[in-house]
Amino acid sequence: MKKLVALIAAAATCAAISLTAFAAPGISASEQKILDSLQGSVTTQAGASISIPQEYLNQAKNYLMRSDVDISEADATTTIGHIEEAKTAVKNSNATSLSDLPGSVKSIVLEKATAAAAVNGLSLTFDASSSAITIKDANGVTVFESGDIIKTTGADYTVEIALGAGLVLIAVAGSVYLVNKSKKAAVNG
Amino acid sequence: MAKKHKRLMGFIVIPLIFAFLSYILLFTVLSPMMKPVFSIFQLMSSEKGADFYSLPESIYSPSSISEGTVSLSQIEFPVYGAHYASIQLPGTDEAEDLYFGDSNAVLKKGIGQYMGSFLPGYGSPILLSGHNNTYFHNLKNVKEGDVITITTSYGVYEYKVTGTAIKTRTDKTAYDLNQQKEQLILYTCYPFNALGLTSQRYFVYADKISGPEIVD
Repeated sequence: MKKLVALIAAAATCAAISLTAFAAPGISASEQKILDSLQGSVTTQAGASISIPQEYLNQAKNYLMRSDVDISEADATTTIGHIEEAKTAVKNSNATSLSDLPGSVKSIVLEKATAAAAVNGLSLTFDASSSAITIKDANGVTVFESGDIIKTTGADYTVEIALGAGLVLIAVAGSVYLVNKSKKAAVNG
Repeated sequence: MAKKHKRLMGFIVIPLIFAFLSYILLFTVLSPMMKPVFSIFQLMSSEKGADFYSLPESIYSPSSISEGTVSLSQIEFPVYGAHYASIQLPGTDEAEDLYFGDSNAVLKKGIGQYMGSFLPGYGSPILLSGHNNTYFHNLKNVKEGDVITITTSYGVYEYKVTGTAIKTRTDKTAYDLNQQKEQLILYTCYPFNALGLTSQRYFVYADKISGPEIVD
């Protein structure tokens, strides 16, 4: 389920990200059209309603707000085209949830996302082991990432504890060996 | 009985004492050299991939504007990993660095903002995280009614704490990133003294009470 959400979100978000020669802060009319396209939900043949997670839409919005990002009307049209193609693929499936979308649909979504990224000067990376999608700009800066919202924020001393326990075991084993050796020496001596 | 006592001393107590003293000595002397080793072990045992992303330059220059509006064109929007603000919890002497993005590399340096949340002043939720043994060490002392201050390059923002909660990291009721108000949501791992990774998080919620509004 996470993988599919990430794929769909990446396709849509990739499509929403583009660079032009002009720079203007805020979200322009063409960029708003892209966000509007992203925000709609899709109803599959099985009647299930699927939409892009809010946190992914927020990332797209944050990127489009940047003053160095300004999408032209032409680029927006192309971008929306990719979004709609991805949505159509999902819509035409019989999935009742994101988790049971067929592999062919997943491939289409990833294909649309990758193509949209390349057109707009962005690179999309899909990590199959973690189902994580990362999108970076031409400078290698991350502009979108899927995955957990809540991160690991605690201390982890398991390695230190393991090493300390290892030292104790070695010390105990060593003392047992030495005691047995001295006993044998006493017996033989 | 004396023999049993000798065995206890010889096999357990003495080795434990020497092991503990050895550990302390090794840790003290070799700590600077062992940190990379520990990092490698943690990397090997971690389920997550390595985070080699180097952080971009800081764009932070403290502002003193605490009211009115600020145009979006006057704001340099931070890129992922950029230090763009500072955050001060009540009862602390110093403010901590606030970064856009919350990767492992960021959380080692300061407080991280989730990319799917918004900048102060935008009128939308802000989700921040920090380690409970470093930069959010004092989060546990924050209580309802306290004021948290975020200073950016374009304004100074204050948020009054409205409540706290302990929830699992997968509990989506812990935050609402779709709400149409500027709520500051801070979190860190819980329990605070856990030696290993935990599934629970301690959340602090605060509503904006002052600071310039960002306008187009």
